Amino acid sequence: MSSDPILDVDTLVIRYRAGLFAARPKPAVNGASFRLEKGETLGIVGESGSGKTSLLRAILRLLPVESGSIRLGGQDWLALKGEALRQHRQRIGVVSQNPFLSLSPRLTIEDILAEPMLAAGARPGSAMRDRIAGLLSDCGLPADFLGRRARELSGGQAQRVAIARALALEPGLLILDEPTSALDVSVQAQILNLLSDLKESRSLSILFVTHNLKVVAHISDTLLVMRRGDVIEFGRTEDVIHAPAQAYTRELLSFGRK
Amino acid sequence: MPLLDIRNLSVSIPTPDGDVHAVRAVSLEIERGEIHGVIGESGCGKTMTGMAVLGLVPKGARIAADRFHFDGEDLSDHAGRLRGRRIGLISQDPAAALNPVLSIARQMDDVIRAHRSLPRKARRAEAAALLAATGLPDPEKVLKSYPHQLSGGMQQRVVIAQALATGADFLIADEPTTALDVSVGAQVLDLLRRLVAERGLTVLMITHDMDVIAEACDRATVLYAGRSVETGPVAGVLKQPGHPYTRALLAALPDAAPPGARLAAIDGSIPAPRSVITGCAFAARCPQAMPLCSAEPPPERRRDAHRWLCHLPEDAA
Amino acid sequence: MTRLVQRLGWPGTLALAIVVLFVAVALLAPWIAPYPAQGAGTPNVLAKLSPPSAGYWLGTDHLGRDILSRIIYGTRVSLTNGMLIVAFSLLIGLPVGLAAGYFGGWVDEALMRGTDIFLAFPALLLAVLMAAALGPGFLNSIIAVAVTWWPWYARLARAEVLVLRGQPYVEAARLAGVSHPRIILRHILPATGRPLTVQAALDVGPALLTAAALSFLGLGVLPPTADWGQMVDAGRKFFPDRWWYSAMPGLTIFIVALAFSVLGDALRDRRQGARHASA
Repeated sequence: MSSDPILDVDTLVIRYRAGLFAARPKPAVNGASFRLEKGETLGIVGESGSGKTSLLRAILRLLPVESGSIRLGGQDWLALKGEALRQHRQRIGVVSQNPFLSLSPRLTIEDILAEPMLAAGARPGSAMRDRIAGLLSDCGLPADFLGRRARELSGGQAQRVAIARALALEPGLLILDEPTSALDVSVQAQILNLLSDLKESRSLSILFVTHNLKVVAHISDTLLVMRRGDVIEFGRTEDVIHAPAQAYTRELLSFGRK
Repeated sequence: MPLLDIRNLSVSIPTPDGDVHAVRAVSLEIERGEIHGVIGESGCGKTMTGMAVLGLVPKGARIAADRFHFDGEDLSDHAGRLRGRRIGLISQDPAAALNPVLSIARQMDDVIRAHRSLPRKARRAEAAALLAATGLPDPEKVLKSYPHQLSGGMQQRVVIAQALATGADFLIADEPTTALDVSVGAQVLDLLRRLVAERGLTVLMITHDMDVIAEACDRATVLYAGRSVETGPVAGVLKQPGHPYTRALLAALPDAAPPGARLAAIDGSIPAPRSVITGCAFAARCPQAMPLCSAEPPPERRRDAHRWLCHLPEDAA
Repeated sequence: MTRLVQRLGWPGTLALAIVVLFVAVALLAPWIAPYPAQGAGTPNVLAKLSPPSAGYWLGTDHLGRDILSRIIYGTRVSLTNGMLIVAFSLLIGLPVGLAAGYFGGWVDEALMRGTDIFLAFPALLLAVLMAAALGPGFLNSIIAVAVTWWPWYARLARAEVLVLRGQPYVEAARLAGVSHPRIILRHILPATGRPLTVQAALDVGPALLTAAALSFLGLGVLPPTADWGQMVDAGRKFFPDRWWYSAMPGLTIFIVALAFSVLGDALRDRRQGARHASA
């Protein structure tokens, strides 16, 4: 592979501070290392307390990192601060679990989609309106949704809006945090299909964080399993699924298969 | 005689914009000692069915049924009477079911006192015994703890212990593992299976997760748009589903398709809760629909103990 | 009408009626007052200290001026007083609370400790001290009260902002690269503004009461401008023989302040009731 991986994490350690007199707690993330190659999907799986949420928030620069490095498209991501960081955030689109929480309840869909564009300096006008219309149709939403508000939408529709917003600035990397965990199975299928279409049409790299191993096994090229702060599996999906190194992984895979 | 015998239950909630048909026509037969799964997606009425059995429907809701019996007793007017006596509830969020400012000992004691007159020491011993029965390794420590000091799995076990303390022999478990990790949830399901075997309990398991049905249930009923559309032993329902919705639901699961392939999503969306449905509720989305399907309610089809409602003949599945 | 009663209850509706009446009287004073000139201050010495009668419904004061007209004209002063106090307090308190809640850290600490200093004093006492230091007068009394009131709005604003700042959609905006000023303008300010202005509107009552207290002490509006507090003070010399001089404006203050209070309770109950219903 001649180009840099889009995301390269090396020996990342994240530790939460305890009280003044308490002993140093065990790290939430204990030296995680992995790469996401361009155009691929990396699934990060773990249960509560595994550290996957801390890892994700650190990548999003919402948490401080104790040691280690994160490179985004070859660039030192952790070194960016302030205005430079704010601008470079355009390169990552983020979708959270509950669209009804991550979409402003007061703004219309059109405002929600316009917001990142305006923040990046675009001017309101017909060009922006065209871009917004394009986003809507790419995400399978009808044009008359522009005037609606998030609470008028179903869970699946709202999540599509969240995905459209994440793609507003044409990022190269899409990070999704449990995007289908709050959705019904049939709606989940629609969203996963949409993500796979968008990945192809927009040449996206995808980081998909979830507790659901089955979902991630279906859509990921590479898989990372976390447990109690440690990375216990990392490799191509088919390798991890067919020959899991850890008993824990086998246990997760076997649930529901009597 | 089934322990819970429901035929054509309907629950309608009047609102200023028209009646919301939360449950349209649900039929359930649960035998003693069985773990019966009720599966469906959001809006199918599964939780409201459980609430109807517990007598916890919203004020003003209208309940009607051809038959609505628990252990021979008619539940139509007074389902609430059996709640806390013979019927217990284990719901999704164990932390919400426990009072955060009271110790576990105190909360267990409250429940035990309501059902048995025992002196204080005996009640404490009973509480410890119940906690031990749910597999908690150190009941004394748990008794001294507060809910926030316990993990989700432990909290759920405490909730189950409370249900046992009431002497209930029928438990309604509404998404009991959804808020828990997969491995912890598996342990809770194992616990329920064990309690059913050891104490002769019966469980109504409400879930949206096929894996839970596969792991823990003996028989299952599939709900769609407030109607029960299929019922039967779990193996039959999951491996040879009769109803097109069940088939579509199973096909939409991520592990039903080869990795990387498109998932078989279901077109369309569920009927609006205020709408009136003639014929089959799934007709608008069914890949095998015929004009008859929207016009006439579908008849019952059978294959041994496996039943479903469809206009298509049995062998079309 | 019944919907109004449904939402506010009988006490609340009555209180609302009184408040609306209060504002109407303030606006229409010159046309409603039986003796507009006297209301504005012109003496009528021949009729001085007359008891309530057909000609002078609430009696007259020591300069013979119709008390009813004086009270009606006093409404203008009270309303303006109340509104300006609240407006000034908001003007100072809202930005302080916004900055403290949004930026947190040492900004929050510094601003909140500053607020604490003001809150450490009993409000009325502080207002009296400020007014005494500034001297009597319309604007001075407003400033004196606003200086003691803004910390409450700062606290309120800060609390609202803290909740909003933690909302996932605000975090989502940060992740999309939206800058702080934009977030404050589009997400924080509109949501904070609403509860704060409702609170402010209802605070006009208590503000007016505080202003009346200052005038009573001689630290507010100067005669001949009609002012309820000042009238109560002036009537003290003639109490209890010519009881109407102090009692009438005193009763008015009581009724209007009570009306605002009851209305505030009714609106708060309704908001909380609505929250319970939708939960």
